[in-house]
Amino acid sequence: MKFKIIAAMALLFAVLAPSAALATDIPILTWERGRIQEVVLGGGAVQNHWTVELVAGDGSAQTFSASGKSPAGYIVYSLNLPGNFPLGGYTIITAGTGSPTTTVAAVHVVAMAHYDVTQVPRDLTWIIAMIAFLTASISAFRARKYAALEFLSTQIAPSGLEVYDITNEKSRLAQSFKPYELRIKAIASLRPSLLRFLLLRDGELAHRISPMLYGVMPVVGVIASFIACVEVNKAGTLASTGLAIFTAIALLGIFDAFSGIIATAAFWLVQLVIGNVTSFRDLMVMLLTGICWVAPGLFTLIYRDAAARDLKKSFSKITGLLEAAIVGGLIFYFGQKVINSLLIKITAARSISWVAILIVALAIIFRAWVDDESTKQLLKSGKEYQLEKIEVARVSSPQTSLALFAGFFAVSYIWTQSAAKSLIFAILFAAPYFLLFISLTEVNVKALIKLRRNIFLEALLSGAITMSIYQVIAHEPMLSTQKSQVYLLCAGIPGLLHAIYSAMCDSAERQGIMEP
Amino acid sequence: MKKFGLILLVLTLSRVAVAYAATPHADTSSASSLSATNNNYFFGDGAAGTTAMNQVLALLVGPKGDVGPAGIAGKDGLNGLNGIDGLPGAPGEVGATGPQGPAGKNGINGLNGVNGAQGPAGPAGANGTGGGGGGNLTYGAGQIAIGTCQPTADTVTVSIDRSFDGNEFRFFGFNFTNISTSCGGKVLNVDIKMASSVSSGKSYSPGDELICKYNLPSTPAATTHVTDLTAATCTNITQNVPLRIDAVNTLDFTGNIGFEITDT
Repeated sequence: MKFKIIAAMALLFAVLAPSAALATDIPILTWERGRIQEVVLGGGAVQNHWTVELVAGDGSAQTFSASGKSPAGYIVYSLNLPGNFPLGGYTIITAGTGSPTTTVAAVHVVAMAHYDVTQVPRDLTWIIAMIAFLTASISAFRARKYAALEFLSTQIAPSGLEVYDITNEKSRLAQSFKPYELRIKAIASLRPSLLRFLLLRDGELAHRISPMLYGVMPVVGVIASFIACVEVNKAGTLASTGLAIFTAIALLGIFDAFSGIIATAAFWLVQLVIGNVTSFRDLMVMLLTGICWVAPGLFTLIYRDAAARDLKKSFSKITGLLEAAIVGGLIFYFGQKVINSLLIKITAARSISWVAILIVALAIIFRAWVDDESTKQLLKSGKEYQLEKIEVARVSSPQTSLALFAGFFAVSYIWTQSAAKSLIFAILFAAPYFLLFISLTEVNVKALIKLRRNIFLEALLSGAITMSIYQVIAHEPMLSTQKSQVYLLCAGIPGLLHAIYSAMCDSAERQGIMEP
Repeated sequence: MKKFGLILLVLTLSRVAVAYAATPHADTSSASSLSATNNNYFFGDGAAGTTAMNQVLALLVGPKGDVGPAGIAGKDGLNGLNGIDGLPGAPGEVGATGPQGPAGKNGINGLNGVNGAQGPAGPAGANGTGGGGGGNLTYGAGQIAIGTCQPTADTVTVSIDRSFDGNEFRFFGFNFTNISTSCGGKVLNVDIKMASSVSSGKSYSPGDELICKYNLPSTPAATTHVTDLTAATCTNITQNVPLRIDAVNTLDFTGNIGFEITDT
């Protein structure tokens, strides 16, 4: 009986006694590391010089950086929690002049589960600057001096497939080896364009090594994409799949861009069939995956050819190679970052390091070296070849520009969930591609006479200005997502201005004011 | 190749549309349903930001509160260190004039002065007189030889006058007969030594020595009566205090009285 009374009293005490959490009366927050976290302080935050700190259990503190004062009188305090920030419990401490130090909240720092690029300003600025860089490259590529492109081709002309010539080795191979024939027919189905030329140019190395390899490479791409699909299936989602297989296919794309395209199509088709593509977000992920696999190889060719025209011959080769390697590595790296920003939940397996840039860059350099060596050997060997050339009339087609407009809108909408802002973003970033079709015949600017175009420098300047725009708004009293939205609206301006400049230069070249 | 790409795109958009149509939607009239679920065509089933994470902490600094009640007095502090000496105080008021202090002791004799230059020889002077002499007399009356200014053959007769005050005999005066005119103008010294025990209530102590000085007239009478020996002429030289001769008990001295005639 005595035991029952004691138990009843204990139960009564447990029910009626206030818990520790109620007694402290502070909010408990859950924050992901790897992004900006914020505290907004209103009232007398300015007058009392309030400081906010995130304090760990061992007493070490991280101080939030304060923004400027808003017209409403509040200040936004920001703290970047890096990806390796120690997990666990923390407290938020505030202190102001004439006020006691106060614990205002408890924070549980957890690993990043959702990569929201608008809350990671560094990644966002790099991604947007990279887009501005590539857009400026395309705008500058309309200059007349880059129009004539050519290479020594050993590939069989599409007309050679109309009537098989048994005296021609390649014709016989196409007749007997279906993948070879399919590849030639696939490229032949494309109308003459910069993309078709680049695919031929990029596949030339495989063909010189072996026409059989040339035909097999797309099959290898299909197999690699199947492996990637298996990896995704094993991991459950793309967000949980490691980057190794994606990097491997990117290397395949560097060696042969056409194989990269086939791998992209196969990967996309399989993902569609097994039901992993159910939203526009998934579609964008598929397209961006393809860009990461194909674009490094194609832009490598553009930069190498452009460097040969921009720089003196003595060091254009090595400079162009370095430019191509850096750009190719950055395209792959930030392409993966954009994919992460579109995925709902990511795991540590999706974390990408700068090592990926190094791997891709080294692969580009190695491929370029082998390509140059094969050209030397081709000239010495006396094998049959022909001069494949193209006069680039326009760098981009209207369809491509529309597709890019839709892509920019979709990505921005996923980031901001604002249709109006996404529309402005898409207009600003797609406008340079539409300007490629416009010729400003009325422009007669003689100041352009002395200017010489340089793709890499112009693109670099455009990217740097785009990146610096964020620094202007970084100290504004806004949340990081608001800053990102403002940045997205402003960041398209440098690329647009450069596109207008390119159009003016194009007009000047056509009028003979400016030398190509 | 282009056709394949186009077919793939159409299939994808169809699949997305089917997925959108097949997803059960919440009642859009409620505010809670106006989330990313409505954007399924873009975002798919798993909308971003549905998990309660990365909350922005918003704080409002309130106005300054009222002054709180006075706190409880603290414990006494530890003993302080010794302080620095204070500044000197202001001078006090001038006090009343105190009684006159005792006369100071005689100073040490000064050093001998430098000998002056020898002056010119003066004119020869008249023959000088002899110097004073001295003698000794026991209590009572008798004759003593003075010598010096007193011719040796001419002795001076001394007698002592006493007076009785009802309790004791005290000295009253001295009578000198037959002082030579050569001793006129000189000083007559009377020296009395106190005995080893004296009467109580006196201004002298046992063993004290008293001296009285008397200026002789330029022409001494046949009998010179020395009676006016007051505090101005008599001194207890042992204690350096003046006293009258008529205050001395005749039983208190040793029995011998010394006389001396000197120039000063």
